[in-house]
Amino acid sequence: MHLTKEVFYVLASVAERPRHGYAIIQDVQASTGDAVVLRTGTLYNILKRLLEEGFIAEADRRPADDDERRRYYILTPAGRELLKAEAARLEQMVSLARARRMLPKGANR
Amino acid sequence: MKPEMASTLRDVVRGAFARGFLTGVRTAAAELMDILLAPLRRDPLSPRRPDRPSPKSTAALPSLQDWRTALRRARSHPGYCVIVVGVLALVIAANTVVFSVADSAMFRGLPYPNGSRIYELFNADADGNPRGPGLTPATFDEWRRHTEVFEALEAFGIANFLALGNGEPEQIGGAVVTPGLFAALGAHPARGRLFEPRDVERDGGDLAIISDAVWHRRFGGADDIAGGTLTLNDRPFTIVGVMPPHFRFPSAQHQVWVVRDRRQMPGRLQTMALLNRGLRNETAQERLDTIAAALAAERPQPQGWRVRLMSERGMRLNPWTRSALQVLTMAVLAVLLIACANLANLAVAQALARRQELAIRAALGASRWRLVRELLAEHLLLGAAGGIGGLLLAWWGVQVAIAMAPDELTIWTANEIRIDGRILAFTALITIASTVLFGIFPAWRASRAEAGDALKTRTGSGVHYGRLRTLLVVAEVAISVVLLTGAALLIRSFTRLTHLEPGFDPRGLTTLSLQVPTDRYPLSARREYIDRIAQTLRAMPGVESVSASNGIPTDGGSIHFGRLEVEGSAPDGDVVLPDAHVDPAYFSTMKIRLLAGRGFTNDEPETSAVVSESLAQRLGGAGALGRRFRVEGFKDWWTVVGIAAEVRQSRRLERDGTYEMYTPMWRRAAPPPAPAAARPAGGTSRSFDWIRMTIRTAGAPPSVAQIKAAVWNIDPAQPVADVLPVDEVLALSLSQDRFGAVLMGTFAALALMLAAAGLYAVLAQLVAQRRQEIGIRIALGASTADVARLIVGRGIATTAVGIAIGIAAAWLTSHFLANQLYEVHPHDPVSFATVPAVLFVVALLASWLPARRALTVDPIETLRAE
Repeated sequence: MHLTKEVFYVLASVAERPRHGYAIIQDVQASTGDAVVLRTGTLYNILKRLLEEGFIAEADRRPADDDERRRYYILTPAGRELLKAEAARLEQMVSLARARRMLPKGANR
Repeated sequence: MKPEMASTLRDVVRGAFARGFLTGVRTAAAELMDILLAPLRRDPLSPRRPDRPSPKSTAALPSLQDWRTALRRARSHPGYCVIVVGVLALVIAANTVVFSVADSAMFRGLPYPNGSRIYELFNADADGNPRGPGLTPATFDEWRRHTEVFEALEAFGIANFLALGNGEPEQIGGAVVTPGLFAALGAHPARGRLFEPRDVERDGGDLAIISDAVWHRRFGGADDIAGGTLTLNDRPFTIVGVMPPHFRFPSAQHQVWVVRDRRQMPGRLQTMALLNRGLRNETAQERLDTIAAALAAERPQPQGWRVRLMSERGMRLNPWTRSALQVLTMAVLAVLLIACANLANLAVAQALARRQELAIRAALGASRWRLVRELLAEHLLLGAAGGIGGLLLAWWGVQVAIAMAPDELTIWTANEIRIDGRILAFTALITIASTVLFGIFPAWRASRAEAGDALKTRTGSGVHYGRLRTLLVVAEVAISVVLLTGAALLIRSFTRLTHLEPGFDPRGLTTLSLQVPTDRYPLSARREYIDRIAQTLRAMPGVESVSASNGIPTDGGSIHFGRLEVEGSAPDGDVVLPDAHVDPAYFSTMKIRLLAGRGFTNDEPETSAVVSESLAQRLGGAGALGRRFRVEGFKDWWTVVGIAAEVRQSRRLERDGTYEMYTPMWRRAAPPPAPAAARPAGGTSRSFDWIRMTIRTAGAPPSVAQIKAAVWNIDPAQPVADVLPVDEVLALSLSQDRFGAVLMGTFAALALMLAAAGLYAVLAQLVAQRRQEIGIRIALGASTADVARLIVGRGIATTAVGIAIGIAAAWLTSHFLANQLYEVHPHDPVSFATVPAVLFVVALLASWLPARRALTVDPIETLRAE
């Protein structure tokens, strides 16, 4: 499966630690330097589909003092596999680009 | 997931607004688009679905080809397009005009480059209300040391000037400012330079900066203005600069600025603080509180008082005007909503008519997405045209609004009303929002036509659409009822005001203001001076009488507040008591009837008073003559020497009671000190006694030039202003009521028209859809009345539901208008009865036309078609 960049960043965000909706939006925006700004409707559409397909799940533990309407999402093993596969696919593309001297060798960033 | 999403959405929008107003608006708009476009979203996990053959067709926006198709189609039904564009243009223009007025008065920050960092520093009591006119110079100096909060702290005081030379003698409002003030605002001069610290450090003479208007009025816009001289209050001021045309500080009423060191500004200082870059308002306030806590030990403040930062935004607006603006803003948005409902209705009808075509194309393999995109392109095209049309209309509408709006909104604000980038952005936003509202939904619905479905029945019943469209009409009618009721209340109140018996005869009365410099004419000399002017005016041809006073009804005069005390009994009840200082000729010139006692004589003791009928009642009815009374706190008693007929002094005071009193114009005692704002600042401001002369003429009044010449004959340096017929003064006093009534009336008329059109469209569609049924009924012997009842009944039923909802909503919301209304209750039965009646008549008309068409149905023809 080929993931859209939004889905990829959402998965990557909940992979780090359980996060609620607003935290995902903030994290994606921060980690992409404002390049990807998720709109709330878009995010919840993605979350809904990821939940349906079992790539993420709702966390059962949450901070005690938190807004009770918030839900926290975590990555499921299937989701982890999906993210890994996508990362591997991207890695493959990057290393090809590197081999063709499109990118400086060995530079990770 | 819904409540969770809502809470996240709230966090997102709040977070964005915390970063700035514009960021907030942008984010909110993007979120709205995202939600509205949800039906078009691809599945995130399988973005390429089989029904989309190429990635190109999944592009988010219509392609060039879609636009071409849309244009072609638009040309093929021009009537529909003209209606859509026309309606959109009208409502977008109305919204743009109201928003530009509301924005300049309520939402905008200060119109200076540093405006977002400029705050006024003031003493506030425990409730946060400003207390006192400003800071003391000592406090000011203390605060000024705190450069960790302030980049600059500057002071100013409002001042009045008598300008002489280069034109008529003129009283000009202005301000005395510290040298760094304009620089702190970030303002730039159009010519010359701003004030600099060295201007007050060594004695470089008196310096002034003038407004663009003064530059044109008094210097003819001469290029070599810098270094020129303007005589202000009998001292020559060297002009160092001219400000650009749109510069206002603190309002359009202030046109000359002179520089002084803050130590030369006696009294309290009005303070402008420029916060350090990057310092937020709340942080700055916290730091101020900390500093204040340290200072409090040395200089105790009253309990709960603190120094507060106040941003200018709408702070100077009186609550009355503010609520009028809020009501108008809501009203115009409601009109926009009605228009969108109406256009959505039309668009659904359009889509319905094209159902078959769409179904055939879908059957031939056109993707649903493709069809949606085409319809979307068409609506975006119409929306854009409507937006541009609306903007052109608004350009004109804003000029009309400025001409009609009360001074409070046009002159007494720091911001000017005009269309600029910010207003353009607003117009674009509502255009897009309304296009999306009326366009996308029908497009999506129409594209859902199942190929087989639509092809099977030639005359698709469209029952589903019918219900939806009826609901939209009900909503339109309901909103119209609310708007019409509001308009009816405001118009009734305005009519009452214009028909008020003023209590004097304004016909043939002309008034002028003399701003008499109190230093040139001290109290002892002022009476003789004014008497001479009155004599000269009286000698003019056609003049019957002339009087002097400190104000005329609705404009000027003084007021006492406090408890009324009648001699011999305890003070009782708060009164608001307008006190007009008038000369002996006043009652005869104004033609105010004296009901008992007498008017004033030439040697009237200053403790004499003539009271209005209502006040006389309060003072003991028939026995009021000779009775003594005072407002608690005054040393002297007034003695009633006469009782005058009721005069409407000021309509806003009418709410609190209708008392009036008159006292003699000329008194030996010094007048009460002028309010703080007019107090001399730095020896440069001057105090003026504003004296109104009123002239009664038999025929045509003398011209403005003749009147001015007569005054200048006595003293060529005497400013003469506001030479006006008294009728006009009365009309001006109602400008805000007129503004509200006219705008609200316009919006309500627009709403009514739109609702009627919506009803008509739905019924016409109904007739078109049920042609066959009607034909069969007629063939089976249904009478004309039966058929008409079918259609008209449907129209009336729809309207009735809308009216019921609307009346309930109006009943619940009309109290928002309460402070705009004069002698009209928010639940005024006349308004609440008239509005439904009007709507029923309109609904009858709107239903009758389609009903007539139904009656022309030829049964044979419809049956044959089957």
